[in-house]
Amino acid sequence: MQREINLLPRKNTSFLQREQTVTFARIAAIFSVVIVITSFIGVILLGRNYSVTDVESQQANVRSRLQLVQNKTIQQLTLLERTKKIESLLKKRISLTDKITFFQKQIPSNVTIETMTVSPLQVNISVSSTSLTALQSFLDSLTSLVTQKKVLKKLTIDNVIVSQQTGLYSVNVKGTFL
Amino acid sequence: MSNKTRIDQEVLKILYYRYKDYVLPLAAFIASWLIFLQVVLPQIQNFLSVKDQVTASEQTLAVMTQNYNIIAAANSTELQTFLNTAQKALPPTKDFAGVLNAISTAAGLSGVIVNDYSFQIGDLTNNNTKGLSEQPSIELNITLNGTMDQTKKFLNALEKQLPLSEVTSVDFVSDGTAAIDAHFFYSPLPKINFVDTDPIPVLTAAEKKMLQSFNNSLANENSTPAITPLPTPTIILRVNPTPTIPISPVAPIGSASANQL
Repeated sequence: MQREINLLPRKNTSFLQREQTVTFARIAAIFSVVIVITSFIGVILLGRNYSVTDVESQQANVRSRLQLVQNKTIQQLTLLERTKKIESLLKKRISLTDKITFFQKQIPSNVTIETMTVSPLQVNISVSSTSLTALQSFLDSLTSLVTQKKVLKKLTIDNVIVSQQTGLYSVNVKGTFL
Repeated sequence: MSNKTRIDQEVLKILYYRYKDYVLPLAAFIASWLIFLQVVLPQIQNFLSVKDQVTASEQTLAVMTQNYNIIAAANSTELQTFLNTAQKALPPTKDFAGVLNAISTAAGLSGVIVNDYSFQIGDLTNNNTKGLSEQPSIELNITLNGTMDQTKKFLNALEKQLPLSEVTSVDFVSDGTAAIDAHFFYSPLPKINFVDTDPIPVLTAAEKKMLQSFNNSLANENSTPAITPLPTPTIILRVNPTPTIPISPVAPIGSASANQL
């Protein structure tokens, strides 16, 4: 059994480890100092590029120029306000001319319009004719508008009058628009 | 044997000599990171906040500059013309002269004869008169003499006249008369608040086209004077008591009626 102990290799190892640790500590310290100094300088240099005061002075300059054209600005804004309202009105506006034309076309040639009242919601037509067939054709055309769900959603025949003196048949119909 | 560890000057000296190679790097390391945390980090935070502030201010500046460019580039004459046209199309007050002119022109263009008409003025001190479109309006009842086709022409012509109107009812009778209910719109001007940091919108091409078409119809109206003289209107006030005041003729209606009331 070997009783001698060789201490030299371990001593060398320990010495080398200490040297390595010291070197590592020095490198870390230098690295930290470099990082701190670099970032400090970097922040200062970058900060020079961003100046709120410069932008604010430019804003003041533009604001003073805007003041010079204030009247024109108000005119422009007023014009825009009017235009938006006009556009909205024109979109909402309902033209009754088209509706009148449409119902005129539904009326056969031998049927006369006695009265016609058109509003955005409903139409009331009184027609007369000597021919019941013509009136039937007129009523059929209106009824088909309801059944086909075109233009009218409801149709009411108010009354049918026969005049013995003139031989005229009169019908009054009331329709509600879709 | 005592287990107590005594730290005195001697011990510290020994420790220092033993670890002196580590002391300086460790001190530099700790000091540098302390400086970083205490000085550099707040500066970085400050820099980032200033950067955000500058970016926001630059955006505001860009909007302001754009606003200035829009206004500076706008043609003053065209702007004034469009504004006048828009105010004729939708006047800020009840424009009786404009309404009568529109009826007269439409009658002239369609060939109908205006028999009788009456204004439902409403309260002159109140701008809350509402038309069908929830828009303040002057209600007008007109009786015309003309065929159905002429009446349709009248409606078409009236639709193109200024101030803008909406016909809400047409009652046509075979004897050649028609009763029409029309609303002539107006709208009080709101208080215009200009905030220079809000972008100013510009008129779209469609809006310019619309104003141009109004302009053209106004120009046509001026070049072909109305040929149909209008009868005396009846003015019906919706205030208590409700008087019916006949006034004459066309021109003084705006001022005379207001003065009488």
